[in-house]
Amino acid sequence: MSKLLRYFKGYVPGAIAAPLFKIIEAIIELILPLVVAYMIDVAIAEEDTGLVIGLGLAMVGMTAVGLGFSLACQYLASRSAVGFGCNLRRALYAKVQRLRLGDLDRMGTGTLVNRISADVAQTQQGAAMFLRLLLRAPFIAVGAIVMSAIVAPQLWYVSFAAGVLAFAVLLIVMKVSVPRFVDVQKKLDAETQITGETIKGERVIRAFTGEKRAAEKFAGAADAHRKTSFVAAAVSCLLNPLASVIVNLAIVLLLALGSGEVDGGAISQGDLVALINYMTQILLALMAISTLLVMVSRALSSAARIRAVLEMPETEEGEGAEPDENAPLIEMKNAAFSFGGEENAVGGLNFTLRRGEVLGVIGTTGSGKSTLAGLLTRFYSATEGEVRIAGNDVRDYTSEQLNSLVTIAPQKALLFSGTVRSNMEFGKETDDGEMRSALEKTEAWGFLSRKKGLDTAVNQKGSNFSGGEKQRLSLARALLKSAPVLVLDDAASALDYVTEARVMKNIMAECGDRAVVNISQRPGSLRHADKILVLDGGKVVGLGTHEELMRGCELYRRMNNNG
Amino acid sequence: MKTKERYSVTLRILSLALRHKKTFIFGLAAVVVGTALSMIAPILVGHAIDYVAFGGTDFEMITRYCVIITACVTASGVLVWCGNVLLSNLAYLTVRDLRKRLFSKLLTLPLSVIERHSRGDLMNRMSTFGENLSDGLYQGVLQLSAGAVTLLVTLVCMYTLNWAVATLIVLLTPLSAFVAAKIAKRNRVTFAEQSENMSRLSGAAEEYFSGSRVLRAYGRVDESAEEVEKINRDLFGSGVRSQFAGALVNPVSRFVNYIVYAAAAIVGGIFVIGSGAGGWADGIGATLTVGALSAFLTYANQYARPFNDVTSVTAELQTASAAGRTIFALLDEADEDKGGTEKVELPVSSIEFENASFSYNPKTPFIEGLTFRAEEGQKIALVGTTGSGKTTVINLIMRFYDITGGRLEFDGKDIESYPRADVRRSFGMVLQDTWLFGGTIKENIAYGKPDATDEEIRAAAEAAHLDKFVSTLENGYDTVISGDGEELSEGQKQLITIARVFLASPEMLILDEATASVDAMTERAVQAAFAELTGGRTTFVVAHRLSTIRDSDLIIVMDNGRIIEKGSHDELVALGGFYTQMLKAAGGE
Repeated sequence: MSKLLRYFKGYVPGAIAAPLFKIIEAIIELILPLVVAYMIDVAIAEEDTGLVIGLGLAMVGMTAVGLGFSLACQYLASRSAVGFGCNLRRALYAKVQRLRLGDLDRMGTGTLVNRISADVAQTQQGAAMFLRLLLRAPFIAVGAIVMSAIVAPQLWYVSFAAGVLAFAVLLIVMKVSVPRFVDVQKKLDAETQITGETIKGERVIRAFTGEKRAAEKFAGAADAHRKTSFVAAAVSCLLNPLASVIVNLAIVLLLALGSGEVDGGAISQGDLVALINYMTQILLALMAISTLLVMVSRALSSAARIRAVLEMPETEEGEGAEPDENAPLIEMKNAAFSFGGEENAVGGLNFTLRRGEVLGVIGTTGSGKSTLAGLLTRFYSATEGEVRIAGNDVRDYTSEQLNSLVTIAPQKALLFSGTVRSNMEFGKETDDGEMRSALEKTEAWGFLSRKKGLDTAVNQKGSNFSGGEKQRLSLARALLKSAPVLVLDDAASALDYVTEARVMKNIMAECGDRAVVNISQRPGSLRHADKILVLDGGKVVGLGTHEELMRGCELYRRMNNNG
Repeated sequence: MKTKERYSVTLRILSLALRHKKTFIFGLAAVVVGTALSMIAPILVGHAIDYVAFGGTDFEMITRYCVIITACVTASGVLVWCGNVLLSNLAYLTVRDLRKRLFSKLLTLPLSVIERHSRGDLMNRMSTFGENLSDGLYQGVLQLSAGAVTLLVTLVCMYTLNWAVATLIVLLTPLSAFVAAKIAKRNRVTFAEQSENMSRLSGAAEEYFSGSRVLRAYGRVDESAEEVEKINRDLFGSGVRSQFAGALVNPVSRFVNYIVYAAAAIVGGIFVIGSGAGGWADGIGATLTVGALSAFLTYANQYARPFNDVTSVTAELQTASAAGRTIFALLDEADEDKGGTEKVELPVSSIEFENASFSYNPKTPFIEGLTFRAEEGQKIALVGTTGSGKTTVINLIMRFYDITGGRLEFDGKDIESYPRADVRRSFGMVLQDTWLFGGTIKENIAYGKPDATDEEIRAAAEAAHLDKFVSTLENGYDTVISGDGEELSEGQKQLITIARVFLASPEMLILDEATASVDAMTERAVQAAFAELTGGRTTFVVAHRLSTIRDSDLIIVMDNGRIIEKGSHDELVALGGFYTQMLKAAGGE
């Protein structure tokens, strides 16, 4: 958590003032039993009704002042904690967009969304609780012990011992129960996993009539979950009763010992009542501490998860380089990339692509095609060899320079909520005519003109378009960008063969002076490429023209014959 | 949710909980008695205090009270603990039962119902909503019973002490309840605003994180950050409001309590004064001692507590009943019918569609005019683009879905006259989406025949070209794989499911022939295994590679839910239609 403290920036005064204000309220609360004692010993003993009323009103006045300070604290704490959360969220978002894509893929969108929503919220809540209760609860607990010692110095050890003992019980119970709750979570996860597995296998399970067996497996997991939960509850439920028994026994002890002191005149009857009140305050404060600890420990684990993301390595930004007009647009020299495992995700890449040339890339899923595309856009940085764009190592460019050199239409056509126009502006902020012409080339204008053209709304992630429509929009966006290197990563896979052929023909006609890397699973779409690269399991198994490969590459031949 | 509906959900949950009567009753009794005992303590302490006086302490009485109080609080501690544990267990038992029912339900509902929900949604009902329900049940029963007892016992104790002061405190109670309700209302409003903003944030984060590639490649990261910042700013406003509204509860209710406390002190003090020898208090039957006053002050605080807790308990109960409602909604869906009672006679001579139609959604017809006949031992191939209806035909044959028009005959009779389970059992199925479960490879192969011997399993694996791979593993067939089978390649997973079908040795076969994500080496093994498996069996193949189905007895070309061409490979090539186009476009010939 301490490393996240800097995200309090802009809210530091509030974060410091809040607990201090809260202490003022606590002090008032600690004085109240003394007022009651005075009322009993003086006002009531001397039968002074006026003083009784006066003292009562004084109590109301004091607590009103306490309320004022407390509210000020609550407001400042809320503001600081929420501000902290917002700072954290902003930093986390920026960080995620700078993460290396390999790491981003590995973590998964779902996890990262969780970090920025649930985990930040949890941390923020923890921070708020911390600011509100951090000083108050321990202050009251310790303060009550101190006040008891002041009221009855000869009995100081009773409340002291009770406080220490109850606190020890609290720590022990929490320490013992935390691993039990981890256990419970594991059992719940197991249960959930079986559920997920079963839903995924509905058809197979029914086909093999395995319903009963699945139910038995689940019943076993559900019973285990119930049992561990029971044990965890048995431990954690000890806290409240144990603490209150300890405090109540301390009250009994105060009665037994205190009565002698009163009898001897060392303390008054009112003092005894005050001592008992202080014990009750200790109990309440300890309960607050236990809630606080639970909240804070939850917040801490959220904070740790957030920190882990914030400390992940980032994509390295290049220093900037001048593209060389005469150099080949793409040059790969023995380039390879590994996600960190033993095997390269893709390796042995050697080819050169000049202006006006088309490279076809073919291979099955998992053969490394998309990784190759990622090397060109610097989504991934080659772990071996070199990737050069327009004469410079791809790593030397700034993001901005690279973006103007390389454009990609990814396999998963990603659209963003807004309008078709706002999505097209990703490529280039240009006039409607140019957008329309690009959309016509990718055969997207047909379905758009039946809607609202460029003003057609796009839902989140483009969910109001079919897969094929999304790909056609995504291709138009890439075309508008008019960068010299165009990477099409299986970008027309959802189109039927006939439409694909038309769209690709239009795109190629646009790209006479660009270098195009066309990745596909369809041999037919690549036949006319200048070179075709055949990948299998991350390795290059062929590079050449269609005719050369038909002669020399068995896998390529089979792909073509298989149809 | 409507009040009536919430009521019925609560009743259903309670009736489930009542199946564990002993736990329920003993748990409730322990909590009630334990709480009551703890509420008596202050009055006892008060009495004890009255025996304490400068130079006149009655030590005998003090000792007696000390013993009684000790016994009382210890017993209370033990009982409260027992009650808490039992009531937790009650919640766990109830939710466990509910989860088991929900799980069984997942396997008896029609697939159409299952597929209407996302997997995440169904899993959520099982895990998160189950937990919500468990928390709600525990908190609900515990807090409501403990709260009621606290209220009742405190009331009785206070009235035994002094009716006048007791009445004063009771009259002031609505103040506390009123303030709590006010704050709760404010909380609800700000909370709704906050969660609205939170879901906006999650939505944006989801979109921008999954679209990170495009944002980066098109240099739009800063613009997206700006969009997020807009939401972040709204989150600051609503966050501060809702955080502060939540933070109001404690200090304000503390303040209200202190007003009651001070009032009790003033009035109580006056009554103590008036209770002196010959005082007026005796005249109205409301004398008060210092000890009793101290007890009153304790009660003044405790009496209001259940009212303050009402807010948090209500929130928890609302979450729980919302969770319960979604769980029950699924449980209340009608099960898939078991089908007819006709006995399946092997071999099945034919399967025939006659002008059959089907739609997932009554408004948009999908499959129409489906007519073809598969004879015993034939190989039938279904080809067509994605979404053309190939898989749907398989779903109809397997009775995962039912035709909505026309006829589907199985062995010459309406397929609905046979039990669903028997129809399904007569097929072996290898799907594109391989399904393995957490367990050993052996268990996975033996899924269709759990009592198979090791030799049989091995033979099946050999036939599926899997044996060689398994023998390279350290633990061989006993290797444990995770539910997703992540340690295996797609091809290896596919081979396991093929071995599974080999072992079950079904009468007929359904193959969703997906080798798209298999590397070239494994693909050859998979194809060989498929070839061996199909020999002599009636087989339906959803084909992705046209070359593998050239030898089919019947090729059915589908488009948009209709059969557009059918015949043998040669006939279709001679026809020169869509099939020929597909062959060309795919790169062959």
